[in-house]
Amino acid sequence: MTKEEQITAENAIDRYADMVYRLALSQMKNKADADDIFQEVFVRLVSHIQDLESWEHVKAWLIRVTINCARKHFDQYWNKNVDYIEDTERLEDEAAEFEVPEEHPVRAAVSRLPAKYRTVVHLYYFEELSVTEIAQLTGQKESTVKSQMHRAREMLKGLLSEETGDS
Amino acid sequence: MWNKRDRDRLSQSTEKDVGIDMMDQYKKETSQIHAPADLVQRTKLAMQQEEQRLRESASKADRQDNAVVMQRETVAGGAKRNFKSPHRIYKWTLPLSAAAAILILVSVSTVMRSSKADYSASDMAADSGYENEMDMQFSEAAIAEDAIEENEMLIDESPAKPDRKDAKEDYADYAMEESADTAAEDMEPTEAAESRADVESEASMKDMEESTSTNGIADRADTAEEEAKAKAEIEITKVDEEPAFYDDPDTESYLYENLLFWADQDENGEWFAYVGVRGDKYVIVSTIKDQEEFLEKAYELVSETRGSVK
Repeated sequence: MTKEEQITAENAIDRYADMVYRLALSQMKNKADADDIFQEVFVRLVSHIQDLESWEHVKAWLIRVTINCARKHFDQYWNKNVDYIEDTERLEDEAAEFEVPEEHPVRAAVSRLPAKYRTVVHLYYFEELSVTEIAQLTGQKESTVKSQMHRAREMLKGLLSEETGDS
Repeated sequence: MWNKRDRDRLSQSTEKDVGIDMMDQYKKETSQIHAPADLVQRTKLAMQQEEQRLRESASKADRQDNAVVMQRETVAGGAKRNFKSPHRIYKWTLPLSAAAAILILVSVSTVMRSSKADYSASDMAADSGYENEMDMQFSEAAIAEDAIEENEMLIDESPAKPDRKDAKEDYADYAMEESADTAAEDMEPTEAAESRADVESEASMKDMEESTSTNGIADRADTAEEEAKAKAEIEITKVDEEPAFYDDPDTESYLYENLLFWADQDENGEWFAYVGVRGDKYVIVSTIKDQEEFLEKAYELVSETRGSVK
C-alpha cells in the first residue's frame, strides 16, 4: 500500500469525488442539491474514515450514504415545497428536463425514471455492481432489486422508443 | 460478490430490450460528468474544518478522560499521589465534624447525668435526713433504754434512788423532743451527722451526769444499806404486855443511860431485850452478839422510835 493509497478523507475525495457527484446528480437531477449532498457526504466521511478498512469499504460507504442523503433531501424537499403536488413523477421529470442537457438522451431518459429505478440502473450499468451488492447498499431484498431492474428496463424501453419515434 | 448468472441474464435482457448501445451511451454520457473543482475545494475546506472540530472535541474528551482517570487514581490511591483533590477540605472536615458531634453528644449526656445525679442526691438527702431522724430517734431511744437499764440496776440496789419509771419516761421524752427538733430542720447529711454527734455527745454527758448521780445514789444506797443492815441486825417492836422472857430467871436487867433493859441471849448468843418507857412496852430483837454494842444500838433505836427517851 503506497502513501497515496492511504485511507484518508483527503485521498477519498480525490478518488471518489466524481462517483459521488454522478450518483448524487442522478438521484437529485439538480446541480445545487447534488452539490449539497456531495459536500455533506464527504464531511460525514471525515468522522467515519477511521472505521473503514479498505477502499472497497470506502466506496460502498460513500454510495450508501449518498443514496440515504438523497432520500432525506427528497423528503425535506417534499415537506417544504411540494405539499400540493401529488404527482411526484411530474416534478422529477420537470427537474430532469431542466438539468440534463439535450446531448445526453439516454441519461435524460434514465433521469425520467422514478428515483428507486434510477438508483438501481445507475449502480448496475454505470458502477457495475451486482444485484446482491445493490441489495446490500440500498437495504432491499435481491428480488426487489431484480423487480426494480425489470421495471426500469421496461420504462427505459418505452422512453427511448418514444424519443426514437419522436425523433 | 457478483452474481454472474443474474448479470448475464440481465445483460441479455437489457441488450434485447434496451440495447447495448444505449447502456454504453449512458456510460459515456455519465462519465462526462465530473465533480466541479470549486465544489471539491469547498468540500475539502469543510472536511478540514470538520477534522479540526473533531480533533478539538477529541482533545477535550481526552482531557476529560484524563481528569476522570486522575480522579479515579486518586480515589483508588494510585500513582498520582501528588494530585490535590479540590475536595480535600471535605476529607478533613468529615472526621472533624464527626468528632465534634461525638463531643456534643458526650457533653449533653454528661449534663443530663449530672442533673439526674443532683435530683437523686437531693432525694437521697431527703431520704437520708428522714433515715437519720429515724436513726437518731432509735439511737436516742436505745441510749435512753441503756441508761434506764443501768439506772434500774442501780435503783434495784439502792432504795434511796428516785422513782425509776419517772426517770425513764423523762429521759425518753427528752430524747423524743430532741429528735423532733432535729427532724423539723431540713438539714444536709453532714449537718444531720453533726447533729447526731451532738446528740450523742449530749447523751454521753447525760450518761456522765447520770452516772454521777447514780454514784451519789450508790453512796446513799450504801448508807441505807448500812442502815438496813443495822435495822436488820436490830429490830424494835411495840408490845402491849411484857414478854414471857421478862419473868424468866435467866433474864437480867441492864441499865444503859437512863433506860433499864431486861435482856438475855438466845442459843446463838444473839441478844434480845425488853424495855418499858413511860407506859410503852418494847421488845428488841437483834443478831448482835456483843452486849455493849446491843445496848448502845437498842438505846438509839428506842430513842429514834420514841423521839427522845429522856
